[in-house]
Amino acid sequence: MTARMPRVLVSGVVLGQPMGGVRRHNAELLPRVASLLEEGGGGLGVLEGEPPIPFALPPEVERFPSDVRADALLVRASKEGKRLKAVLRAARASGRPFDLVHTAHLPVPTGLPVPYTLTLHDLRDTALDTGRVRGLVSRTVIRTAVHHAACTIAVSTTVRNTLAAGFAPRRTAIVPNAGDHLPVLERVENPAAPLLHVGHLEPRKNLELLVRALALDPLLPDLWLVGAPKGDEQKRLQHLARTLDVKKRVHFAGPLPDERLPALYAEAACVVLPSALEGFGIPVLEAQRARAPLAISSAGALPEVAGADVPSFAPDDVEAAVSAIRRAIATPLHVLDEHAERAARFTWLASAQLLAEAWRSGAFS
Amino acid sequence: MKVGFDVSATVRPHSSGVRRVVSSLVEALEARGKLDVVRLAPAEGQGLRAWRQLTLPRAVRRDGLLGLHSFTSAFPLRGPGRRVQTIHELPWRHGVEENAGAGHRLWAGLGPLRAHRVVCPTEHVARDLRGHERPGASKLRVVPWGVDARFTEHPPAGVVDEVLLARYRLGADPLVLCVGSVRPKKNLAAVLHGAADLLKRGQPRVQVVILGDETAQLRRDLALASRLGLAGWVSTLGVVPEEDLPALMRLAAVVPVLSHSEGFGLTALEALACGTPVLVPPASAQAEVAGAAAFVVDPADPAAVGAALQRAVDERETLRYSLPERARTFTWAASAERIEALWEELA
Repeated sequence: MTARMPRVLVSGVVLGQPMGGVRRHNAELLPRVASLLEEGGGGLGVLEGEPPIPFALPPEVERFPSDVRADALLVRASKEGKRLKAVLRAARASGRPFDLVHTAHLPVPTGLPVPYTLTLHDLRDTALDTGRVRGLVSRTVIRTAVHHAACTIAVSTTVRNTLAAGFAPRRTAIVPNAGDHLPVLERVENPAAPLLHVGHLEPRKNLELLVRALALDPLLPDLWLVGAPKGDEQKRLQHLARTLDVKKRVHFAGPLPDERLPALYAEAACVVLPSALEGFGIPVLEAQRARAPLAISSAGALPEVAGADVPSFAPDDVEAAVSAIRRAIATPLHVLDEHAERAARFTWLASAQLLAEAWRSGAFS
Repeated sequence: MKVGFDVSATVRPHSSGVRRVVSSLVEALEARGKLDVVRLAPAEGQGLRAWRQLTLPRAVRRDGLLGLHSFTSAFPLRGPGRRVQTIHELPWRHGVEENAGAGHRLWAGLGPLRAHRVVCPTEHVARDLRGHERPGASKLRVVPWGVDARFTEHPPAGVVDEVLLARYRLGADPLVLCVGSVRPKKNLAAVLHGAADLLKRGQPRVQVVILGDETAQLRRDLALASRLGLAGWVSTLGVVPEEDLPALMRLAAVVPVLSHSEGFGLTALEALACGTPVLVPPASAQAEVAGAAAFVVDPADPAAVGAALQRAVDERETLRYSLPERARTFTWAASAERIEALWEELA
């Protein structure tokens, strides 16, 4: 007989972060999975941190505010476990215990009285050259967390394969992201339409390659970078653009609200994602659903999410990037339609269902 | 209503598919409790033919049974009570020589004459039977088989047991999983030619993993793989425990079921239950069972098989959630209900 759905406590102390793939993942999945758990006789609680969760959650979700700060890693690590255990104790005392804790950030608190599941969006600290000591520490932290997790949830097969090859998980489930959070507008033919990149401005997104591509090919459209800058990446890119004499062709639009994105996708000459490491790549689906031409780097999960026939390039090859962007801009309409149809099969509801099942397996195995 | 069920396939050598049908269906019938199920199997050392023709009819009289339900094409030709025969497939109608000897053909012919009902798992087999244009077409009943809970529920579909998989040391390339014993009718060659087509085109690299006993056919197929330049692409795992199958299927990018003949195609259904795409030939039992969820491809066309493998690998992630929907419509409880209805007709 099918077991009931579990009562799950999500550690959401870092969910106050700015919009990006991780926040999108939670903002779309948590409300949907909350309903699925309720319907199945379970429920969802969320331990919030400082800042609190900025997106809407349905009323049936139990919210537990706390003073755990998202940004101070060491303090967070020590406080988070105590707050989680306090919530678990109180729930048990009130006769409505939680069956499972779910987290998506590291390190995972030790000594939890119930099993936990862990979502890994990518394995950035192990995959990139982050320095020997930091790499070793994070590999150890990931290994410990994964090894003790009742189920480790990966957002793509690429992430699952990396996990299985190096971190000895007990169980895995793949819960992909989706793209049906943005409305789709009619395509707009605009000869002056720009190249578009949506995502944080940070080194792993490899935006330097795009600036260099503009310099290599003066006929490429201008580049719009939409997303919040992290660290001094924007300054670095601006400096590079000045040096390569393409400053006027690179526009830093900053982070834009969701309402602005559909129009940008509808108009873009091509969406370009040159990332050096990506566990999923939600903008792939946003672009494909909008029937925007797309060029991607061949790194990480981007080819898996986009499908095999999307023009791609090695993340360190400027000439290949220029060529892929040119091919992408010329993508025939019927191919764009096929990509849109494929992308439409990733839905947040389907992913929420997979997440609920992964939690069920983690709680009652 | 007390009915005897011939479960000899579970204690005597038989294909794993038929064994699974017998054990799962009888368990489902017992769980529902509508029929009074009497399991009948030969004693150790007892000849199967004599048991079937002499001992079974005696059991009907002794236990006051309404009749006998056979899960194979062989059934008691005489005796008291009603008799139900099961025809799993008619391979000779599709040019396949396995299980196509005179004995099999004779039983297929005798069923409509001597049994009160003939059960087959798909319309595909029913059409083959009707094609004989023998009397007794009205005795035919299609009872589709089901999917075991371990492919769908424990753990839930989508969750992979990594401890178990780690034993098999599989690589990261998309996994083309070939399930079932390697016999000529399974047409592994079609998969290999398709993979060779991918190799020729350079994209994408896959690993073809073959399950099952080492047979003469497997050796022939491995020699073919080597000739096609697929030495680094193909590996064999031998016979894997049944309980490991769901994890392997869940990990697989695609499960080709391109057999020349199948009566049902349980493997295709089990793969779909795991959210894994399947390749099936047109107008086959597998195609009927898998419906719109399958990639239909002509096994004789290597380029088409290659393209379908590529498409399945490419679309695998988008199908993880939707494919099990199709499989959910096939349950052993639903099969049991049809068997009950059939016996009610006979009562």
